[in-house]
Amino acid sequence: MWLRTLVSGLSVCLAVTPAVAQGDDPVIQIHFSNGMISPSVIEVPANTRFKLELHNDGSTPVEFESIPLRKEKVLAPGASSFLVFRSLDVGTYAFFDDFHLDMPPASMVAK
Amino acid sequence: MSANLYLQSFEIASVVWRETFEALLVVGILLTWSLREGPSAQRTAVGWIAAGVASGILFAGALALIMSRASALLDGDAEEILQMIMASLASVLMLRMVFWMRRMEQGDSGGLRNEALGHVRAGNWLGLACLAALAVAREGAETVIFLYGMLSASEGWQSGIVVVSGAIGLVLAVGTFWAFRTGAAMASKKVLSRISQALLIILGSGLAMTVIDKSISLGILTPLTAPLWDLSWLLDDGRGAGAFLAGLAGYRARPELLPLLGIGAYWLTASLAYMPPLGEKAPA
Repeated sequence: MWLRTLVSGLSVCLAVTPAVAQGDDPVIQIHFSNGMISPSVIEVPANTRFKLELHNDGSTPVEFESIPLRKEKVLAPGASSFLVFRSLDVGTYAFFDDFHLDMPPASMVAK
Repeated sequence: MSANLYLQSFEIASVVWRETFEALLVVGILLTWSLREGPSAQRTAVGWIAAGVASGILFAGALALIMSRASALLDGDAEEILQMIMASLASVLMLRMVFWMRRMEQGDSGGLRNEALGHVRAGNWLGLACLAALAVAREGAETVIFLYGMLSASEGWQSGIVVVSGAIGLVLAVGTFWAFRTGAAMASKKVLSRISQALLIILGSGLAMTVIDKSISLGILTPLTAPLWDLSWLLDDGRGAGAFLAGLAGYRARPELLPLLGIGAYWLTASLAYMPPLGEKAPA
């Protein structure tokens, strides 16, 4: 029973997301390199959709992780990927590289 | 140079330990629990669990391959949707397992419904295998990418260090698992059962929070309010013990209303397993 509910819920969200995902969302770039995050303070638009493109330029794997942003993403060396943010309230959100915990965290500022 | 190397191998070991901890804990609970059964049930259970672990490893490897090939297949929302499905399946299976354990406890003392219990057991092997597979696959893909990435980044004798550090991490995780098993062997059946249930409920709570987070992040649900309070001065969910609790049990320092309602509903459902059974019907 719960399985059917889950599957139907899933098909609904699969049907809905691509339709909404179209269009020209602003794209913001972020680069990781062996624990260094640049820029370390990244400005993003508040209350609007945007795409965050993640690039791992380093020689070791990285993990973008943030509990307040509710996102996590693992990148192999040389890999790129993106995350979609739907609506961020104005504020500062900390994130870090979970595979390089000795490096300082970075933050995202929604304005 | 050598201090740097120590640091790096410590980092590798700790990441591998961290990522495999939850999976080994779940597999450990399933195994310990099944080994307390009769010899025929034991073999069946161990077989199903092993099959689950093997398919979990295969799935993790496949996921890691897709993720690291920079394929667009898991870009953007796709990975989050997949994580949400896996976490919700695992969380539901964990709760089911708790209800199952409770029913068997009651059956043991009653001794009347053995036939019915046998049936329940038979129907749950697949669930057991799925739970083992999900536990391994969920964090497994990240471990594979991490280790593979570290390995491809190093050359010559340094790759040996990566392999050794990864192995140390795995040994630490297996040590944790073994400590759990040894402790379990010494504990009485009742204590063991209670501890297993508590661990499953706590892990399931972390998974339920993952499901809530993903559904908010995907825009399926809204958080309803701004964060209601901020406990990060007391226990920050981004670092140290707070981060560990956040991953394992779903602790949040700045929760909104919806995550609170969701996690409340989860714990309420879990507590149903401890209500006195309503007449003949056990809660399911």
